[in-house]
Amino acid sequence: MQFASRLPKPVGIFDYMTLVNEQRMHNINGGTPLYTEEDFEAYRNGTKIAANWQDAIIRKSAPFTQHDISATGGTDRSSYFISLGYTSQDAFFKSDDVDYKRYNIRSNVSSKITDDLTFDLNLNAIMDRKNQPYISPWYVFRSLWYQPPIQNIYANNNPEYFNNVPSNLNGVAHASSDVNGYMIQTNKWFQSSASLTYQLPLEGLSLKGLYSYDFNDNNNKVYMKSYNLYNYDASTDTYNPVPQQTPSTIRRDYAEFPATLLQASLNYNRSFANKHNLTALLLYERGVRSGDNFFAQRELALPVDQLLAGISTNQQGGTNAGNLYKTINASWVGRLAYDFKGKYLAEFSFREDGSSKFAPEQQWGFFPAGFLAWRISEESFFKNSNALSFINSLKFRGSYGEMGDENASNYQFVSGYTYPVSGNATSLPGGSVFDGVFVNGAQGKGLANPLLSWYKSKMFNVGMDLQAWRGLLGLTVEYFDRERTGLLATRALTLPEEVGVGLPQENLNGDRARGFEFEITHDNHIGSFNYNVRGVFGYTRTMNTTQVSARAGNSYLNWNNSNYTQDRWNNIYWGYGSPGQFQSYNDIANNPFFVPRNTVVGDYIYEDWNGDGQISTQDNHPIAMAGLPLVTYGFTLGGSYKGIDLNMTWSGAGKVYVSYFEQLNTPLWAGGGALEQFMDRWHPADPTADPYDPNTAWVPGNYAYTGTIPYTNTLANASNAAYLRLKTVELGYTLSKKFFKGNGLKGLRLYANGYNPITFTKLKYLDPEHPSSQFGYLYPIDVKLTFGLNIQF
Amino acid sequence: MKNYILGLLLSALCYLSACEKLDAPPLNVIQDRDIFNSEAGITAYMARIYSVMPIEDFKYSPTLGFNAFVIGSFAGITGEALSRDMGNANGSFGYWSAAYNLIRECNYFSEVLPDYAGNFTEEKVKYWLGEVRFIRAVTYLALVKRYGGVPIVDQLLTDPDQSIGDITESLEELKIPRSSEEKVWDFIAEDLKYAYENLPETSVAGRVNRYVAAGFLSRAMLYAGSIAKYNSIELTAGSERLCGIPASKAVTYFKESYDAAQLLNGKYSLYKKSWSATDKEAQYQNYINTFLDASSPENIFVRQYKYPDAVHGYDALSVPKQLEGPGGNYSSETNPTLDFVEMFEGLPRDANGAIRTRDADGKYILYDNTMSLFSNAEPRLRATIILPGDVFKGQVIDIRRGIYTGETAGGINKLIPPGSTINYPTTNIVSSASALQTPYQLPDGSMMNPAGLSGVFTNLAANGPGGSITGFSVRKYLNPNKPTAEVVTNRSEQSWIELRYAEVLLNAAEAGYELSSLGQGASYLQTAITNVNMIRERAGASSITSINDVDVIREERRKELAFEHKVYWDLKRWRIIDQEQNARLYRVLMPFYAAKADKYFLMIEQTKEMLVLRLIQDGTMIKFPLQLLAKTQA
Repeated sequence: MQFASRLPKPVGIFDYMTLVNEQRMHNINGGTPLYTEEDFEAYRNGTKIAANWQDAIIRKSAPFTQHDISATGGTDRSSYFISLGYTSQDAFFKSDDVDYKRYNIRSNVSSKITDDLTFDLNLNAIMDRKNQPYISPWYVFRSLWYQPPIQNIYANNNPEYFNNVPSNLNGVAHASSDVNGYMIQTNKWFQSSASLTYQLPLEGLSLKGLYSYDFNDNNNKVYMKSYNLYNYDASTDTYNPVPQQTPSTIRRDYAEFPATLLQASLNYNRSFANKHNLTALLLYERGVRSGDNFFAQRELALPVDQLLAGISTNQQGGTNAGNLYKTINASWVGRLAYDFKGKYLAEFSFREDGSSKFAPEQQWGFFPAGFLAWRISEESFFKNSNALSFINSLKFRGSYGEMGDENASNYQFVSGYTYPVSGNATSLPGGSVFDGVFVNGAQGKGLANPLLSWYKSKMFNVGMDLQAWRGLLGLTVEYFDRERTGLLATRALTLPEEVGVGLPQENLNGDRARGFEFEITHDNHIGSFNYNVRGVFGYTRTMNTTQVSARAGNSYLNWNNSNYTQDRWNNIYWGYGSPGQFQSYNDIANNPFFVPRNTVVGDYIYEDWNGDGQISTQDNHPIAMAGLPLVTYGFTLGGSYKGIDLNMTWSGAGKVYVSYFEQLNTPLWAGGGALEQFMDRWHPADPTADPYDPNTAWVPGNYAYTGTIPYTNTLANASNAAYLRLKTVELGYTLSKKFFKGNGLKGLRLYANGYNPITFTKLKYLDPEHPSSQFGYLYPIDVKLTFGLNIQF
Repeated sequence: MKNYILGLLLSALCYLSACEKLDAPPLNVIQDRDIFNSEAGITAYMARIYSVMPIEDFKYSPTLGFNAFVIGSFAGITGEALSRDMGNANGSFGYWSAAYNLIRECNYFSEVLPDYAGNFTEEKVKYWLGEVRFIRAVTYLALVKRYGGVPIVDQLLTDPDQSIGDITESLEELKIPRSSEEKVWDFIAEDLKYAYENLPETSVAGRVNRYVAAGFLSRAMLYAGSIAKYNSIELTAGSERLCGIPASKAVTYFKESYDAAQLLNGKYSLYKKSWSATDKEAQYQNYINTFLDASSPENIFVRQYKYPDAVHGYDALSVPKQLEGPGGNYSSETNPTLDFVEMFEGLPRDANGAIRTRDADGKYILYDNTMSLFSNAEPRLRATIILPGDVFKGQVIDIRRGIYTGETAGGINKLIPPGSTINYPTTNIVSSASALQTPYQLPDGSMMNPAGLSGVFTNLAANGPGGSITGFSVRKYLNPNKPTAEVVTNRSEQSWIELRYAEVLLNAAEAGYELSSLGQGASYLQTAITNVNMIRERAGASSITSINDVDVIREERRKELAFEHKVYWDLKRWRIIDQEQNARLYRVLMPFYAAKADKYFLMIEQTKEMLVLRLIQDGTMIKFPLQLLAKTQA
């Protein structure tokens, strides 16, 4: 079973009308409420019926099932692992038109052909399928939250006719495939690898060849079905259709992404005199990745949702240029590792990487790495010291390495023309129409940079591992620093516009990420109760080390904009400080700096940070952290007593702030509805009282009075989304062996699993991991409860 | 054995490294040889530069620029119309980087094509070189109209063999200073003359021939002549006069314009396929067809569209509300003003020449229907805009501001005082804020919606219900045969007529009038009269015998070329846009139904405060993009 975690709810009719009236009263020049007592009474006594969009669209819970079967086995010459899995997940829509299914099979076989020659074959296939209405789920939430309860779902409340609500956002029609069509996305993955390992006559030396072929395809079918919304004309008692998304259109997309990898390696692994351990590897690999795709689209005359039923007028076909590619990578890899009795460890490795994404002279990059470690606990002085005997193992380690990255490159070294130019039919098309025929255009690519090459990461890492009191304490401390150079950027010194072309990208910029991780473990048992605890804590920060750009207009702007700064930690949330809300008109009257005339009690106070007596963009300063959580932590608790086991994983994040837009920021946004959270607001105790009368009594709340919208970049709008949540909890019971005598069963376990069941956070009304992209309308985070049975034969 | 295996291994490695050419070029990039070795390649190059040529077509907006998904109407800032979504256009009209990018592409073509000339006939090579010179001229025309003198770049500034380092070291050489406005106009004239000499007599629709170049020359030189004559601003940088041309050059430029226009005589003609001298209905229909008949002999240069690759949304944005297509609240963006309507012939007028809707006692005249007022209107007016109650797509376009519920027996007095911009009156009036209306019961018991199906609704907000806001709707260019299901933002395909013969006639008329007023002879004036009468005859208006005032020609131009995105630049080159528009309140005509009389009357109102055209502070030049200034000043 799945439940939505902290899904916002739209307000009911009375709250809606109250908020609208407040918004209207919130007028310094004198406001009048829109809805009168009669309007309220009409809904109270049932003369008028309000719509409940939430209940019409969303259900409380949705089913979720998962089944797996697996088997392992073999003889001394061969071994196998096979498995079969199935997952099915539905969504919270009453229409039940959003669901996801996934099937996978896996077969790994290893066989010794001769004593020296081993053959391995691994096959894995996955298929998944996602069904949804043509209108995306996030858009359904947008429609759902937008329509106030005063708008009926059906025109004249007649269920035959969907109401043409403002902006055509009828969420009930949007949530149903029967109404607006569907989108089916099917993905298949096939991964295979075959390898031969030959043990050479020299002890410890082996030769391995591997070939793998992976294949992924996407097969989508999109049916945009036209449907009608209706305007009810009371003067003639007619329903006037307003057609939506016409004409009905069917579209098929197909894309395939094959990839091959060839590897040949020579391995050497041997110990000498039980002291000197040596491993060496030399490997060559060559991989080819490619993508190809096409689509076809036709309009439909009859409601037959097949491409073959399409009409020939306006039919379209084409290829998405972004997924049409072929790249080749090749690498030489070498590694040499040596340790002395496991006490002193040293390793050196290198990669020589080549990529077809660069000009021939720039294709190859050399990236070495080294590692040193000292297990001090193996030293005799350490072993012989009684004072240190509680320590079972202590190791210090450090490493340095370089890595290359080709991903940002997209053939900027090639000059020439992009053909065909991608265009947009309604704005700048990709060509011109000559004599009634559309002709694809060829656009010059501008200046090329044949010198473009790999960008380079330098990674430095030191750490310590400790085990003490036989598992009662385990400790790992690690510090890391990653510095990247050669990130692509365009020179600050740009060409005059009159040259008509810009400079190409070069390997110019750099950045750094630095942080530490800390892990502590504890294993113990009390009688037959075994338990373990593990905690981790991580902290990461990033900065730009080199950032080419022109200076901004003044020093303040320069400081304010991270595009212009280097050697400063990133993730700064810029905005206005907000020390709170005005508690009374006395506060407003005595405010040390200017506030607008229409300020009311409960409005957000902004910080006059530069002290110039007014709030302006120059009061922008760092107010919080932005972006990914900087601090992450978590711990797991596990325990077992006889057949019962309990495992919990907690995870948390700190120094993270979220802010939202549109309807998650503004009640009655764009003339729409409001979410229930906005009822927690400052408002006059008597809704008919003039909010600008200093004698009006106010009820305090979390948000300001309806009609006051916080500036987007303020603490008033950003919320601390630090959280600690129980990510998973599982309680299991394993039946003891004596139950299964003679019936072939080997084990049986019952379990109950919870995913995201408990969350502690200061954030109100929303899930702390609820994303703020797509205006915050994304599908909610799940809470899952699973009950399961695990049988072994 | 051991040696054998090692040998095998080494040879395998050698084999692998031997094929180490990581050669996988991008799959949709082609080279000069692919472009310049075939006519198809050249056509692909042309398809690109024609697509970005600065044509102010259906997809142009002063605020969003060229080739934009536009909501709103350019006519909304010229006084021709009011448009909910056309905001204050001050400080917009920007066009710079894209212009110099296109100029570079033209220069590149001119410099590279000669290397491949052996592949083609001499005619073809001349044709294509003429085309890119034409496009370069059009680009400079767009720049000089906006900024006055701009840097003239007549060749490629970077060499294909230069490395990035070389280019950045020679940065100072790449800074080209602004030339004087006069030099830019001369440069445009030179390019257009080159194009005229090299281009062929005819071309396919959408591409240019020599007469297109001549037509543009007449347009450009008329502009330059107007600047020489009417501009009074002097703005110089060093010895270069960036704004304005010496008045002594006016005659030269007007003559160039006049002469260029004469080159098209006999090659094109006014569209009169379904015209009749005696039938006003035929004149009306003929004028509508002028903009929709692809085979019109009046079309000199058009930009074509073709679904699904290159379309516009003019129908969706401009149809009256009641004919709105699916997929959103798009319609009625261009609402002609009463000020515009009053320029036309055939309307009842008061002593001041304004339209008359009240009788001698000041009472509203009552009509059976709203079209009665326009029964004698000039056919061109009916064909240019949809009058309230006129027919479009077989439907009566229902535009009504409200129902007057008061007594009508003694006549209806003026509802609001003259010049008032107060909120809509409510006494004795029912109106509707939204398209979902509450019907009003008429004295005979039947029901009627307060507002018409196409407005006017009292909620004028941009995200409001839409509908007409002036009592009128635009008709020019609307496709009367487009099914409502296709009245969407990506289905319109009618061509944009960038240059038609009527404009050339008006260019010659204006240049001729200016020349005669500058003492160049009466024959110029005679041409002006003849040309204006040709336009007026086709429009169904009376003919004139003399021209005593330049405004006669200007007004004719504003009527004939209305909603064709030309008026704004005319107002600028005449240097009158500031006087005409500062703090101006345009007027609208509001049809009312008088319930107790079962008649209509029409009320003249001022624009509501929220729709007032904002002050345009500087009537001469577009504000130069400041961030570019530093880079341009050498």
